[in-house]
Amino acid sequence: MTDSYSFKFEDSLASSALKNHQFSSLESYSARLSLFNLSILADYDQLVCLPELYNIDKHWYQIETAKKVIKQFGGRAMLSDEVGLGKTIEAGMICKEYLLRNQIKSLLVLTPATLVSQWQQELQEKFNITTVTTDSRQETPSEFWNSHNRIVASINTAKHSTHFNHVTGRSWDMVVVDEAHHLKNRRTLNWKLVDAIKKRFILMLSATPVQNHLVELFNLLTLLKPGLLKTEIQFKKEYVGSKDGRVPKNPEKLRQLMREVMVRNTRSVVDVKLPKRFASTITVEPTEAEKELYQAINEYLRSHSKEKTIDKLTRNNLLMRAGSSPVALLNSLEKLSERFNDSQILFLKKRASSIKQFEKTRMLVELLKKSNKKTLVFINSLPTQNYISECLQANGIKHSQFRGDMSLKAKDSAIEAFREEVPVMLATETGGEGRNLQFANAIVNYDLPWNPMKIEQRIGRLHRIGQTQDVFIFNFCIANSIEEYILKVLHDKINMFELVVGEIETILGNMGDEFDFEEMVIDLWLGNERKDELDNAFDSLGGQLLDAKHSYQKVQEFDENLFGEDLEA
Amino acid sequence: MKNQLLDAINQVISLKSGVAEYTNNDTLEALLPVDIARSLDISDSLSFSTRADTPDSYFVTYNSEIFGRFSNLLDYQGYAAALSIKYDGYLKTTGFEKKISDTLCAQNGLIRVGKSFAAPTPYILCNFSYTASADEKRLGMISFFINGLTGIPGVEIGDALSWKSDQVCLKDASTLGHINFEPLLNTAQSYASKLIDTEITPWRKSLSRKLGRDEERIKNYYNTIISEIKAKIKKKKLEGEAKEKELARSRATQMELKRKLTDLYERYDLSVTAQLHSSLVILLPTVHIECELIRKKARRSAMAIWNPYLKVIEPLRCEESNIPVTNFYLSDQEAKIISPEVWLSKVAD
Repeated sequence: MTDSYSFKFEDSLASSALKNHQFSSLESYSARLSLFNLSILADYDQLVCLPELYNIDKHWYQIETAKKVIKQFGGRAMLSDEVGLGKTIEAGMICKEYLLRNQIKSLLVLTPATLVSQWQQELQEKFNITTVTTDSRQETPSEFWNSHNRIVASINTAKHSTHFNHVTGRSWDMVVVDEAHHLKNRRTLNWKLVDAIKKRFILMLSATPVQNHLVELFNLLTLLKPGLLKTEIQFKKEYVGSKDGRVPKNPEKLRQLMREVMVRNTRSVVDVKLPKRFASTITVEPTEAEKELYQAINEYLRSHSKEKTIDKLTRNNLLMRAGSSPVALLNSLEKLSERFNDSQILFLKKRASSIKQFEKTRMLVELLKKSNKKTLVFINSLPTQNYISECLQANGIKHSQFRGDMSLKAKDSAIEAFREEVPVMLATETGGEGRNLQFANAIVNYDLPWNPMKIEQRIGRLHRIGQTQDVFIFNFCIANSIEEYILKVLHDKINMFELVVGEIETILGNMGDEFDFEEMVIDLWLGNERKDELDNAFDSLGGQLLDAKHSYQKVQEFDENLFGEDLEA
Repeated sequence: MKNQLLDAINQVISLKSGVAEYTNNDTLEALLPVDIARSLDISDSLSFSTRADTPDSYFVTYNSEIFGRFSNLLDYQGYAAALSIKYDGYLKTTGFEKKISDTLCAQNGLIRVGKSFAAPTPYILCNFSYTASADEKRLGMISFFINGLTGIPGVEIGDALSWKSDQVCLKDASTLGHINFEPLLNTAQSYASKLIDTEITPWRKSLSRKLGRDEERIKNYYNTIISEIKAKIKKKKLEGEAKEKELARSRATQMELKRKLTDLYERYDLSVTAQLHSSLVILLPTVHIECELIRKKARRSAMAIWNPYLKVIEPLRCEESNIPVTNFYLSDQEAKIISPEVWLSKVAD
């Protein structure tokens, strides 16, 4: 740390008053304190929003970033932290701060289509900012864009000709653009849309803002601060040092300019060192009866998928529950039989109810018996959780249960019991970030979510700042199930469990705007019946994801060289 | 969320015999004494609002300069205040032997528990403000309690301040007349400096990184010029006036480097000034437990305090380092309380 540090105390009227026993009324003491606190808040030396945000971890560099953007950048900035450091949290903090200070009223978040609901949920849960989304739009475009003040929109929808004029026809106090590298090209509608929007503050978020050519940087920064990098011709002349546009000329001067609009916190600078994590797949060989049931439900779904008699939600639910346990499947089949009078469903119900012992659960019990780690077991379905709880009890394995439908108090006491008394907690959801679970260091994905982001969210509950031990992840799957194929792609092909939290999102983003992993795997699963067909289809998906991963790594390297560690908050 | 801005205005107006009432969460209607209104340079009947679109109102934000004028109105008031807390529960005064032996441990001596009795303990809530300046200026405040009897800073008092109805303002300062605040303030300052230091550590680290980076760049830049000059002299085999000219250029470059570095050090030089902003003395009902500390032939008395709000025996104070201790040593001569760290360093010496 810098040696040029001095500290001194000054005498004050307050110290004289105390030493001389000169006491005033409580009211005047309180008023003096309140006025001083306001003076701290006036210069953004302290953020008003912090006491309001209790559902998130707040790290010093995120707070510093929010202060810097508001205080020094005037609310127009590119947030380019390395993946996983919390750009969304920083953006949310800045928006919340402006909202609490009454400096903004209208807020528009532009994001790739696949992230719309995630943004809406995070703004609501973490920042208590209620928004409407283009996904749930009921009104005409004109009504929608003019009657709401806080909107999370798919950028594809916003730039569409039926929406463009309405989005740009009104003014916005704050615009947040997620995955801002999609604005790298000035000739695209994305860029033209953001440029045309009348906005006071703008935050652009991207861990990898420049992908191929330095001109992309010019295009992005011009949206934030027009004129900062002069014209494109002048920019190229002054700052681009090679024909392919990848080598900067005058890098020092360029960084100096970037420092006026960009923040990029890196792991090494913010001192985020996480312990290692180890993942292993536990493939369970099902009993003959379990195998037959799984095959039967798949045949049923494949036949109905062609006829489209069963909706997507029911289809996914049945398949997930078939992978979870016969008891969970039975529960779903019972509900389904209330809707459809189908002899096949009755037959499946009969088969499911005849299976009393589950191989997957037996393996879990074996694992937990041998383990001495604090283990968090994620189970999607409640009937499976109840069944497992009974099995653990029967085997003398003490545990607590955390379920989404429990009261806050019950959730807290489940975690407290897990921390202090029992070695295992069964959970149906990840719980809020604010809940500290870093005392545990093993995760069992008993039911594997098909959405990689959800898997990552689970891992992130334990493998985060504050974790001191190595983290062990055990992924359970039944042999030849959809989950086994998903794990082959995510674990064997792209090593997802070794990626830094946040990277999978970027890799999936590289698969295209409309790419939905969950939908893709279920389509492949139901569309390919034979084993060799399935192997080929999933191999090809794995190959595409691997390409996306490599292209992300190349861009990451380029950006690391370009930005260095110069742009920290 | 409560409206911090209007709450602060409301507090000062009430203090200055004005009347204020919320019409909604964003607007406060106020009636001010004429002289107060005049000194604030506003009308004596007006509405303050945190919404710019509230008609006929005085719009206030965190940056409004009117808050400075409100501060001036306070004059010398509010720097220190005192209150006592009512405690309606029963304070037991027996059976502390086990609690003391569970909590406090003299590694090389004995603790004999004597009489216990209910008695108020003064706790001082110290609010220290600070201004830290480097390439920018930051204001901040840290607050903590110090036990007025044991002199231990950073103690907790539980939820004792949660109920306003239990708070009784101590207008008569004579109740606290026996307390010498000067040494307590010294301890508080030393504790405050540690807290402030911790609070600004990320900034200090960041400044240090920036300084290192800029220093290296400046040195590289000017040293390259100097090397080029040397190379030129060597390559062109310069002599006489031509050589002297180049050497002068090199010296000038070196001086420029020195100047730039001085500027840089000044820019990243972090200076912090702190002061006690205000303090609140709280007389808390507690149980005082007389203890005798015995080390060989040395004996002395010490007071342990049981806080009914936290239901704990508070730690004692190391008489050398002022840090709170529960495990400690006693000095041979006077049975002074010494923390293990200080004790071990003395033994090592």
